[in-house]
Amino acid sequence: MKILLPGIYPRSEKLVACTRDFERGRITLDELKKTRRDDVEKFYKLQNGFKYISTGLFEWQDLLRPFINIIHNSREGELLRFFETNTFCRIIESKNKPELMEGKIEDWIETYFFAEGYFKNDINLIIPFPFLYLFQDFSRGIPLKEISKIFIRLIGNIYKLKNKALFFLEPSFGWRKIKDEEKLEGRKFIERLKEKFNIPIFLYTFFFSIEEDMDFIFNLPFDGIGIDFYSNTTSKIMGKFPKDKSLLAGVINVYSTIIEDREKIRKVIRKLENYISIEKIYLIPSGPPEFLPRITMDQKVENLKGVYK
Amino acid sequence: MKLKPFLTHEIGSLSKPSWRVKTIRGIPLGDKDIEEAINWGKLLEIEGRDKLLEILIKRRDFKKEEKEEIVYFSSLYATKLIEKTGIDLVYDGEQHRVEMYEYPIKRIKGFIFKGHVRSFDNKYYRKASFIGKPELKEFYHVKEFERISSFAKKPLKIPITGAYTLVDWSYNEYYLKDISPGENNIRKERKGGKSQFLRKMAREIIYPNLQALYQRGAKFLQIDEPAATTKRDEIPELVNTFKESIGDLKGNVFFSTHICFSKYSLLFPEIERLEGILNEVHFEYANRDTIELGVKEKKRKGYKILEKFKDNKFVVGLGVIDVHTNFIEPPELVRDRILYATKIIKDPERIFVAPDCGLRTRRWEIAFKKLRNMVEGKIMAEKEIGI
Repeated sequence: MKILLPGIYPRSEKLVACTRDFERGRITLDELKKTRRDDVEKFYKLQNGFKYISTGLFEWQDLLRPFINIIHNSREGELLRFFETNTFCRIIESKNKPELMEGKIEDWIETYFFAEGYFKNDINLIIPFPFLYLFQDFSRGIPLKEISKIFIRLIGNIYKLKNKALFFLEPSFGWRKIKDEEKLEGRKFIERLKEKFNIPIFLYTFFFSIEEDMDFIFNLPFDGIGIDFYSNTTSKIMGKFPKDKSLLAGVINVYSTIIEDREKIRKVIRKLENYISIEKIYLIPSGPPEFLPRITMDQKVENLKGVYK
Repeated sequence: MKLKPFLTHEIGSLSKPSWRVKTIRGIPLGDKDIEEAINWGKLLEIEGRDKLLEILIKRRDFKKEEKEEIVYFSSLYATKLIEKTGIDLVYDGEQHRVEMYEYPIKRIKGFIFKGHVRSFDNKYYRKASFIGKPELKEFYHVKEFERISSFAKKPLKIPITGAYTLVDWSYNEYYLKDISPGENNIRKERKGGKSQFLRKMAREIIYPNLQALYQRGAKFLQIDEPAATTKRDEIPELVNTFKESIGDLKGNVFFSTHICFSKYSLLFPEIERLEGILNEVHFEYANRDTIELGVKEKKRKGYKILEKFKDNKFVVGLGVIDVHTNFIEPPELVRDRILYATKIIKDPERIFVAPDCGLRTRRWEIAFKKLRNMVEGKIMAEKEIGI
């Protein structure tokens, strides 16, 4: 089944309530962890047969927060609106030159990328990272070059674990103008990663139309690119889409709880086949899955599996 | 309506007393909860508080009418708390409401709750889908207005969640049923669906509520729009939504809007189309400011956006109290914030003084001290200016 679920997956109603209870001192950390593990387990089962498994990132409070626990001298700053949504993200502030907490990297990876040790090293896992521009827009005092260095160092440790696919999440395309020097840094970063590590790397764009940056994005050495098809038109995007890359088609609508019509999705796939071979098409959510309640997102994924029947 | 300079008001929510929260949730009351009701009752000189204590002493298994009585008393306590701080326009801190989204949505036909989604950190809200024509089940703030009016000794201001925020925080599944991924003009179609939803909510939900409050004597109404700047290219839609929500009530009621934790510059100049319709525009400022005394620009860096009000007629709702910290702003800091605003706006009658936002995340002790210092700081500013 060619479905992938990158990004933070919604917490179950039970986990939402337990997290609140934990923060108010009504339950213990062990009780919270047990509920979180149940969430991970159910989510794992939902992905049975998928090429790469997402861990759900149920410990993550937003896409940036885990990095505070691995960058020396960094701290949580104020809340900032997450693009044009009603979710807010905390800024990462760093007053000194940011450096990694070297002794903690392995534990950090286990906590945030292996669901507190639930997943074992040999499994095919999606490893999500915010891409450089997203990280830059939600941090203070960490220049693009430093972010790039930090990521390369962390990914070096993840690479050793095998069978992983890197997913860079980036809604900044279409949100703001990416300057030429930023583009240059972005390109260098991906080129360096490809040189150093033999690992599939994907870019996951969402929320906005990528038309203006399409040429730049499509020429980056990613193995695949994710596109939000509720913010982009097939005919405008796919004409230039590189045939050697995978397309992560954002067809699960995260802006609506209506379950997708499978026939419509099949039609979209057939349309996409005019531009790219079917082997290269994966279906993904149009944006972060956590923009929908858990029960709805689970139903949408189950429904989408039926597209391949 | 001629109003005094530096008029003070609160913004909306206050926390709910533990004896009110636990009773509604069915959690038995402890000694501390009862003590809280006794102590605040004495301090605020609540008339008839013995009746509340007689009910609370049961501690558990409250009947429906007892729960209603408890909500009545929490409204009375909160209103008296606000009055005791010396604030000019009062309210009960949303003691009748769950919160600003769920409460109205439950009272509008056409919505169905779907589950929790994240707001920030580990905080979630129950999000609803809009699946049918919106229809009011009841005027949802009238009972609250009438009740608070019956015991408030000062003019009352009622907040109401605006149409734009209710729409933006919901899934639009009535006007956007049939979209297919990747189809031509997909963004345009999504926007079109939202415009229809907004117009409907403004005309058929918000306007009738505002009208019902006006007909019952409300003089001050605050339209809350925390989602106002969420989508950069929808500011014209937001402005139209205000126009349609207020309609022919303009001039009959003092209308304010409260917007917070947003990129305010996006609102200008478009919001100026609301001059003569909307009287006051309130933002959060203190959260962005330093806590050092002084009236120089460097010290008052949270108030930069005031420049945008220099050439329009809006009353500036000036947030001078940070609601996300227990730091009690000294009156001198409040004074300097007001004096700085006066330097920019020039006319004290165009400045109203308020906290940044509702104080629901602060304990009553903290909220009380903050608001009392706010009033004191205002008096100091008046003396300084000589009014």
